[in-house]
This record gives sequence, C-alpha cells and structure tokens, in this order.
Amino acid sequence: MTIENKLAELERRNAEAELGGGETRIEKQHQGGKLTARERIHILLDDGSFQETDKFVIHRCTNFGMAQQHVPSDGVVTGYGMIDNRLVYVFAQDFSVFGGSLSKAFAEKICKIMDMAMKMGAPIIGLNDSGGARIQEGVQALAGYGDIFLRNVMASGVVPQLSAIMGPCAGGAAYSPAITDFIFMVRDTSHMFITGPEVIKTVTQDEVTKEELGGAMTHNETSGTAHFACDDDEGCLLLLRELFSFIPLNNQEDPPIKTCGDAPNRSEPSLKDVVPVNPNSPYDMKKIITAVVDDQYFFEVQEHYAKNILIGFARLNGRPVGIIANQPNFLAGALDSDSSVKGARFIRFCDAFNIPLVIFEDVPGFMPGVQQELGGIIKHGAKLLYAMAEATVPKLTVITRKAYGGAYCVMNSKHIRADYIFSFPTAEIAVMGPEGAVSIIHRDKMANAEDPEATRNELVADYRDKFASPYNAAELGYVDEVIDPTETRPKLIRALEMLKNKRDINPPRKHGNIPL
Amino acid sequence: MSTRIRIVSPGTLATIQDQGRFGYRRIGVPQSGVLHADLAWVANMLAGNTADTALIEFFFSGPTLRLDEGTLRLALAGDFSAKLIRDKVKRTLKSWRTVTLEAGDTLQVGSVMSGKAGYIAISGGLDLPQVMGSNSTYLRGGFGGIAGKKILPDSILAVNRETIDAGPDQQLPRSSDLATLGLTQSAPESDLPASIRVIWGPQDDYFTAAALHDFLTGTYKVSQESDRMGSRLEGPILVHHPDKKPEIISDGIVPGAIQVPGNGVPIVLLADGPTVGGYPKIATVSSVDLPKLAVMPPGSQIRFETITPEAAETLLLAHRRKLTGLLSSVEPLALKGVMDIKAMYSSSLISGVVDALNIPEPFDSSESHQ
Repeated sequence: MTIENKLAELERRNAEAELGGGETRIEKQHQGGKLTARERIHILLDDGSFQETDKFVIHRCTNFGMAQQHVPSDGVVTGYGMIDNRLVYVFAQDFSVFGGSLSKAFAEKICKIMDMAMKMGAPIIGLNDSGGARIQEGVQALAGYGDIFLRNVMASGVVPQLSAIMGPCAGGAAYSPAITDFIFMVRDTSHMFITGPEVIKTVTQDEVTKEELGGAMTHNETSGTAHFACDDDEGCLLLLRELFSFIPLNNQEDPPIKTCGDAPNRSEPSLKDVVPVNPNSPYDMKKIITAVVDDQYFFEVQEHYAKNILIGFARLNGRPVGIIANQPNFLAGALDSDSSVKGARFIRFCDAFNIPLVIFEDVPGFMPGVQQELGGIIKHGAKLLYAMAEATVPKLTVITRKAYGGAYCVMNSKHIRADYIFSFPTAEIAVMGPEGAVSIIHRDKMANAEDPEATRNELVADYRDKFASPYNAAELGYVDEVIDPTETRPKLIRALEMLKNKRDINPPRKHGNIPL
Repeated sequence: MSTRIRIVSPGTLATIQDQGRFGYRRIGVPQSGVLHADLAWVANMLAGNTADTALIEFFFSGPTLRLDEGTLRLALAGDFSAKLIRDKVKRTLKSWRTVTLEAGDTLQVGSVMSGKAGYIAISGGLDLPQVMGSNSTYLRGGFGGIAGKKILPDSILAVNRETIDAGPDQQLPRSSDLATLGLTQSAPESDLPASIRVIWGPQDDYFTAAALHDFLTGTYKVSQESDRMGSRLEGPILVHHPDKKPEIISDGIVPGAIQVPGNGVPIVLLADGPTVGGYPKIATVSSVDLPKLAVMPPGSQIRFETITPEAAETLLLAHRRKLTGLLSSVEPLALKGVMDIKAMYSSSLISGVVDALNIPEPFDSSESHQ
C-alpha cells in the first residue's frame, strides 16, 4: 500500500465519521429546526480551532443485533478548541447516530475530555441531544452515566461546566447537566425530565405534554433548573460564548479583564431619582444596576425565575463581577424560598471562581406565608445566608432603601464578612419598618391617646427620623460610607480595586454542611 | 350569589341546546336541540344531570371558559382535549370526563378530532329562561338559548347551583368502545365510507329504479354546505321518476328525512330543519345512525344501506341498552397527582432509554420511552 492509498483511507474514514448518522437523519435534524453536533461545535468555537478526539471510536456491544451496527464516533463528537482564544473542552451528542443514545464507549469519550479538562484547568461545555441510555448496552450504559456524574461532581468548583440542552435529555441523563454550573435550553426543541409523560400517566394519572413537563420555559420559569432560554440553536451557542467571557478557566485563575471604554469615574445623574421618595413604591432595581456597570451591560441569569431577586454578570472597569440584587418591582423584593436558592447557588459559583460579588439591597424581609413556612423557607433562606457568609471573594453591598430584619443580615451585611458597605441616603436600615415598630412599642400610648391617628403619625415620624435612615448603622460602623447615589460607579470601582488582592480563608474542613 | 361561568371565547358556533322543542312543529317551530343526542347524553350523565338538561354544543373548535369564583363541575363529551390552567400551570386533559373547576381556573377546550361536534355539560344546569318548554337555541328564529343567539365572547352564564363536594371527577373507562357506539368516528379522509342505515320513503316511488340503485351503491360526501339545518350531500344525482313531478304537496318533515329537490342533490334534514317541505323524500335516516351523520365534517364519505322500520327500531333499542351500559362503567378518575402505589411496584418507572435500532423521531410526541 502506498502512502497515497493510506492517506485516501484516512480521508475515507474521516468522511464517514463526519457524516454521522447519514444524510437522511441529518436532514431530519434540520427539519426539526436543529443543527447537527458538528455544526453546533462550529458555531460555538473560534473558527477552525476545533480538534476532534476519538473520531474512530465505536461501541463494543454485541447484544440484540448491535454487532453489525457501527458508526465511527458512536453518537458523540468530542474534543477541544478555543472561545475568544481561550481553551475549552467540548462534547456534542449527535442525535443522528442511534438517537444520540449513550453506550459505554460514548461515555468513555466524554470522560476522556473531562479528565483532560481537569488536568489542564479548562472549562467543559456539553451540548446535549440524546434519547438516553442505549438499551442494548444494558448496565454498561448506566456505568457510563455514573462515570460522567462522578467527573461532573469532581470538576464542580474546579473548572466551570456549562450545559446546553438542544434536544431530549431524559431520565437519569438529566442529572449530568443538573450538576453543571449553568444550563441553557432551546425553546420548542429541548426537553428535560427524569420521568416522562408516559411514566407519569401510569403512576399519577397526570396527563402532561413534554413541553409542559420539561420544555425550556418550564425549567426557566417554574422549576428553576435552567438558567437561559434561547430561541434557536445558534442563539444558544452565541449566548454560551457570551457567558464564557465572564468566567475564568479554572478556580486558580481570576476572571478575564476586558478593556473598558466606559469611564470608571463616570457619575450617573439618573441615579438621583431612581429610588422613589415614597418608601412603599416599587421601582426597577435593574435601572440602578445598568446605570452603574460598564456599558450598561448586565448579563442577567435566570431572568424568568424568582424575579424578586436579580442575579447576573457585569463588569466594573473591565473586571467581571457577580451581581445579586433584590428587585422591589416583584413581591416588594422580599426573599422567599425560590429567590434564596437562586441567589445562593449563584453566589457559590462566583465564590468558587474568584468572581467578586456586588449586592444591591432593598429588602423588606422574608416573605410571609403558610406555603413559604411549610415549604421550608427557614432552610431555604438559610442557604442564602450560608452562601453569602461563606464566600471569601471581594464582597460589596449597596443599600438603596430597605434593609430590615433577618434579611438585612443575610444580604451581605458587615456581620457576615461584607468587605465594604455603601448606603444611599435613602436607605432605611432598621430591625423593622416604622409603622410596624410603632404599633408594637407604642401600643399603650396609642390606645390611650385622645386622637390615636394623630399620635400614631407623630410616633411614626419620630421613629422614621431616628431609625429609618442609614445613619444609625453608619454611626455603629455597620455601613462604611453613605454616598451620593450618582457616585455609585466610581465608588464601587475604587472599592473593587482596593480589594483586588483580598485574601480570606475559611477554617480547614472536609466540607461545610450547607442546609440542603 | 349564584356561580357564574365566563365564556372568554366561544369557539366556533357554540350554542345552548337541550333535547329539543317538542309539540310546536304544527305551528312551524322546528325541533332544534342537540345534533348528537348520544354525546349530549353522555355529557349530562357524567355531570350528574338529567338527560334533558341544557348544555353547550360547539363545532370544530371549543370555547375557553373561566370560573371567577366558587366551584363548578363540567363534563366533556366528544373527541377533543382541553387545557386546564390553574395557578399558571397548564395541564392537558382528554375528554370523556368531568373537570371540577376552582375559582381562577381557565379551561381551554381544543379542537374536535373526529366528527365535528363537542358537548360541555354544566353540573346542575344553566339558569336560563325556557322558550316553548325548551332551552334549545334556534338561530334562524332568534329564540331559545341565550336570547336566540350563539354564545358571544365574554358571555357570562349563570349556573343553577355551585358544585359542592362532588367527590372525585368521573370518567368513562379508557377501554370504552366509543367508535362502535358512534361517539367517535374515523377521519373524513378515511378510505372506507361510513355506512348509514335508512328506511325507504316516504316518497321513494318518486324516483327511477336507476336512482334508487345509485342511491344505494354510490358513495356520497358531506359537502361544505352543512349546518344545524341539514347536510347537503355530494354524489350520484338522483333522477326523479318521469311520471311524477319533482315536487309533492308539502307535507311534514322529521329530522333524518333525505329530501331530493329538482337538481337531484340529496339533503339530509337535521334538528333545525323545516317542519314541512315540498320535495320528495327518497329515504329517512334511521334514528340509530342520525347522530353520527349529523356531526360528520365536510368531506366525510358515506354509503346508504336500507333496513326495515322494524329493524331500525330493534337497532335503536339495542344501541340505547349499550349506551345505558356505559353509565355503569363510569369510574372515578384516579386523583391527579396522587400516587398509584401499585403502579410504583409494577410499572416501569424509567424514562430516557432508547432502542438504538429503532430511533423515535425527535419531535414525535408518541415516543413512549422519553
């Protein structure tokens, strides 16, 4: 055999592998509004940067007629490449080959790049589009899932793990993306559930469609499992690239700094009037966030879920930060179970990957309600407290208005290691609001007053003067600076700069016991 | 304060109907009433109503209903599904069952999958004035139902009584043979024409032997021109006997009569049909098959088969016995969201498994394992 023949053979084999499940199935994939695994990788990574591993791997199953059925690469495309010139490992499940079903060999390919990612300290992106376990593989398929799950857990907090659901992701398979840091879902074409509509109908009689049970909006709005809902494959992949720009490659690195065209000293006149004069009026906290951050760009995470808390990434003088903010526009910005868990998980991601935290606070307290109490708001709220207190990254707080009760402690107070706390002059930092406090401490006085209403107003005004301001807290050193709201951006940037080399450690231990 | 149900959008041609208006045909008032008496009966039976309770009849696509306060049980009969929106969560329900609405619930009734009519019975019935002893809407006459009109968007219907603690919802068992009972039917484009049994006459002697032959051997199609008054059929033209005129001295007409005007195109007259007519009637559809024919969507194919009046009666009685048998099979709907412990032990609880050699289509909703 000449070298030409050998090269031709290589070319033939490459072409065969690249065709995946064949033209008919690729056509079907396109008809369903989906791209193929290789097309997806092409959009996700920098042009020409993808290097494919294990292209010729085939399964080793001989059960139930599988011995004659082989497609090189076996239903998953794996390898490494670059996003904005930064290393990343990728696997993309290929629905055109055996329905993207997972064999032991398939799982081994994924495990191989996960192991490399851990060794090299680079993120892992998984593009999921698989019917699930390949029945013919028997317990070997389960072994494959188990191997992947273990690596997901070991990589958690070491390298960022991002998942896109771009087709079915059902049964135990859903637990792999669930462990990863962020889940992107494509509307209409992606579904994620542990037990599907048929099984549910058998056991609980509930009739539910796949979309209702596990569509993109179900997980973005109701279950809170997913973080992003995208209109199509391309939008999803571009959004993945966007998120990638905020995060470091591993837990030993700082997040990438971007050249900033937005003046760090920019004061923002619009911030003077954002917080309404009436302390009981709602307003949009996003207006404050966007006015402060670089280029008004707030990359919001989980925007459809638990809207009473805002989370997301932004940059301050080019430096990525994680933002957690109460949203007075929804449920008065009170903390409930869902918003606590949403905030806590995001804080832990940022803390694990050295992303400083900026908290914007306007919180009237925790949400009252029988369902909240019975649903465990104590343990869920405790998660937010735990995550906030545990974090050792730079932690800044801006109190815009209310900081009441236990929620004051939770929202990155000085007492749980906030590094620097700013307060607007409009802040009301107190154990509770004026009306509530007066009706308790002056109950007798008001009951015996000639004109209870007038007395009440007088007492409320008195309390408001004394406590419904930032100054009581500032006198005690619980607030570091009371600032002119228009100066929020320069103040935050300077504090962040000051905290650049912050080192703080938690006591050595196997791991803490966050109230799960 | 009585319970009210809001019809957010009425769907297509939704009206209030009951079994019909009897005793006034002599003064020219048509019978009206539900086109498919059996479906209406099933709906009322599930709702715990008497058979003559007025209910909502709709064609092709169903209404969206909303309950603002109280509790109300509805029953759905016909081949359609519905979406129940409760606390922003949408659930898909199949028909042939009751649905107990709670305050704030919205029920979006979907499209009729086979036949064209669907029925929604309201447990306890609607609080509406009767006209000539009936709640049936006669649109052409502008009376009955709700001021003689079809149901309009944002109508509010008062209900006779709130549903209080009616126990679990009821359903027909999944195994019920609805097609045999004429409650569901095959799709209009189905190759096999549905067989409709008729009795000759009363004026079959007004047609040529060839016409009678064509009538029995030809395939007819339900035309677009079909409504509550009658269904025009497309198929072999029926030639009137040359010795007789294509007209008769006007006489009485009953729903089911197949009238053939001068153009030879037969029309099956239905509930809102006229009380008298001057065209010869080649045959009359047997009562047992009339509901099925009445709700066939345009394009449905049929063939006629003659039987004797005695046979028609026997068939009807047997059909009613079978239908009554359904009553005893009604079972409580296993409570939604409540665990079937037996199934937990005995059924497969595994999703997300794939036969690599038989891949389901990614968008096939029927895939069973995902």
